[in-house]
Amino acid sequence: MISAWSDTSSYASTLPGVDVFHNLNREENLNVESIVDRFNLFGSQVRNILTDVRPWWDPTLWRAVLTPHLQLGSTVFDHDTHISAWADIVRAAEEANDPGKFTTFSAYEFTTSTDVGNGNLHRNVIFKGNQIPVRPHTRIDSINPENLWKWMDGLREMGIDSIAIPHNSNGSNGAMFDMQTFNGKPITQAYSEMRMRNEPLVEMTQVKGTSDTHPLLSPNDEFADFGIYDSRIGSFPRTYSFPSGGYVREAFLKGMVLEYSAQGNPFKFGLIGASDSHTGAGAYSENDFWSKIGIIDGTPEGRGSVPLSDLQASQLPQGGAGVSLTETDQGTYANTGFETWGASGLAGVWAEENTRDSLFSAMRRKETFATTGNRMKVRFFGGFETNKLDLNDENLVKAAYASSSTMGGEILADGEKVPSFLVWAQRDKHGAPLQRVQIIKGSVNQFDASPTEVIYDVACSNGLQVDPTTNRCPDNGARVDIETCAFSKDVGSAELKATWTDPDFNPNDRAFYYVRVLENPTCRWSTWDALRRGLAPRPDIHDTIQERAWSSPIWFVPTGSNELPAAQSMQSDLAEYIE
Amino acid sequence: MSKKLTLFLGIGLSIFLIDLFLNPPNEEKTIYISNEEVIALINTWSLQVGREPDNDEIRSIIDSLVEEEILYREALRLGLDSEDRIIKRRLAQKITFLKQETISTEPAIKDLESFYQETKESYLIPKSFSFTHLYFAQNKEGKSRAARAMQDLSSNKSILSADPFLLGKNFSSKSLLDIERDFGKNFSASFSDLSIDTWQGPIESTYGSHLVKVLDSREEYQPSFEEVIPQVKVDFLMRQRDEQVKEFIDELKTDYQVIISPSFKQ
Repeated sequence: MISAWSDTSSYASTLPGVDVFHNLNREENLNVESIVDRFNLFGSQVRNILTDVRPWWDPTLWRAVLTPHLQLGSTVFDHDTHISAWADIVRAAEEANDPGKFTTFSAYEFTTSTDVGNGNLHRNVIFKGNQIPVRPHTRIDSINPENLWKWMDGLREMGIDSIAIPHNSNGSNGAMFDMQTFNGKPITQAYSEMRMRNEPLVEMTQVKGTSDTHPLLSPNDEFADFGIYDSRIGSFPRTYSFPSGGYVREAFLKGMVLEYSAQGNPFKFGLIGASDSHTGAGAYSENDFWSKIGIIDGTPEGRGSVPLSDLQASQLPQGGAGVSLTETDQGTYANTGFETWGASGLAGVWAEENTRDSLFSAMRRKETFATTGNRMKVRFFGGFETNKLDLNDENLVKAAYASSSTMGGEILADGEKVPSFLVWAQRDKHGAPLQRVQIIKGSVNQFDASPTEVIYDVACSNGLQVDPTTNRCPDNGARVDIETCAFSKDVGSAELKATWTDPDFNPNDRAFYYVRVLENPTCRWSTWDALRRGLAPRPDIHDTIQERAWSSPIWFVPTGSNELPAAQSMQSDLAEYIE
Repeated sequence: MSKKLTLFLGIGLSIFLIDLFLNPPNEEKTIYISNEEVIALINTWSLQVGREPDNDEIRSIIDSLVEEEILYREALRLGLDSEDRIIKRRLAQKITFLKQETISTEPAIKDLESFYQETKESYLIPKSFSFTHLYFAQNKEGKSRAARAMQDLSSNKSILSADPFLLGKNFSSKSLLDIERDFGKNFSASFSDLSIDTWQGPIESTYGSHLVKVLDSREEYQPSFEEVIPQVKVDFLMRQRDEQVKEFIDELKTDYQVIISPSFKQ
């Protein structure tokens, strides 16, 4: 739509209110100084004019209400552009699909957000096969994600299967994993089931930040300060996004708490990574990073990794726009939020073959993992016999599948038996060697559902041993030379493999376990940008990062956890007593 | 003969003059809307809305068409179109689309077949290998263990135990590109020299040392036309579209003379 609005020869460009988009991409409008205007356009304007509904007496509005084309009711909606853009996407997906070599899916983004406050609720909707509805369900039809799920449910009944993958929960201001529904109603069992039926996966990491956890939510996680972008997505002026409700680890805990109070678990999802690129090309490598929007973050100056020229610094509007400048000895840097973005991420899927059916089924059963752009691989199994697996057995994977649940699955309680896990990670052959593998455990107490989070290092590089009092690996000594970005090549491991038994296990508590693999430190993209200009890295942002991978969790389900929980039965006892 | 012709031209001329006298030409201010145009608009409308428009709606469709036309002409009159990059690009795009659309969507089988013959090599299935391997992990003295294992194998001793490899033990029909993706470049480079059915190595990968036994290799394979028809069709249409546009441009280019300042310097 936006390219149609900006093209002044199109019908769409004559629609009311879209004149701010006219000639958006003329040469004179393509510069760093346009950052604030563009934020404004894509932040506030798009949202405002999209929801600008025609007046009640306008026959087009009535057509919109009486036909399946609700979007016609918007003053700026051009139905032709909408339908033909979607047809183009579907055709491209069909033409490029090459089973066994390169699998493509027809997909689109449902770009919704909260009604007030700009909480990001974006989802990517991915269709399984080549039977595709004639038009996608969009935010003009409804901004409530539950209506998207209803639409998907309806299509599924007609044999058209799809999943939706929420992304950028970090910029949702707590709305993505809220303890209530979009309309502020309590979450019900039916809501949880509907959400899980349609959203088995969530995006863990992308260019606009990583959503594992936030230092404020996980104060004891010394690796939590990674890929933190805490602004609401598309907010203008840029506005802080409150962490709670925006991060995956906390959502897993919240889901179990909801389940404890018989509301079902709407957050029992697996994990993937993605770029969310707007340019058609994902920038996954720190040393070859072009961010994701195109014009305003396409240069090191624009994304704040090298100082602005004096002219740019004087022309960049500041203040209310959420854009500011930082003066340092090296010069003046732009703070647009881009400086905190990352070269991330990729989705890993364990599937039998590289075809639509096989990949889609694997995504449905959550046998997936996420990486920050590197191609690490990770296996994860859990069960009561998993620690008996022989790590040196040449058929280890086969044996693990036979005896254990894999990522995305469950372990059902069996008396007092204690679950054990197998983790196995392999490095990216072009990345740095591995530093450590961790298991992140979250559980909720059987008596009052109070949550706990613990991180265990389970395998250290170079044969180092985990310190049992801190649960951490000792420093392996790997370092980065900031002046050249060279990193220690002889320290670290090509693969890490271990079995681990939960030392603090309680068979009555709900729990989840997921793997985090950490590489040795390497240069961050901003350091590469500076290095190429012969400059020192910007002093007030991280100069190195640790690339990482996360598996989908395995959940532990206590006996009788589907029965009426203690809290509820007590309530009914009380009710009786009062009578 | 010539008399008749003169008479004919004379009558023609007088009709023309009378007509000119009665209806002075003012084409600039006439908007002629053909039946076809109205029908096309009505059809688009009903396609979008899902029913036929009523008379009022038809009137408003025509009204907006008229308004658009008037504004368009006024804009032209004011010269708003000249040197507008977007209009230029849009028109260029439009003519390209028109050229692309003149292709019938269902190409004849014999055309596809000759296209296939012409571009055969793009359907080649590369040489592939089916192999098994013994893996000796880097961090467990992989190098020396692999060398020892190779010796044991050649002296027919039973092999000491190898390590499990994350991506598995047996690989079927993998191209060199696939192998490179899973093991690294060094590893795949040494692959094409391997002979069938004997243990060879050690070969180094990113992850450690490997002994490899190639069980089978399939030479580069040319699939027959029938096997790849759907792919051929996609490629054929794509090329046809490109060609049509290119031909069209080439044809036009012969009419143009392009002058670039010889002293141009960046």
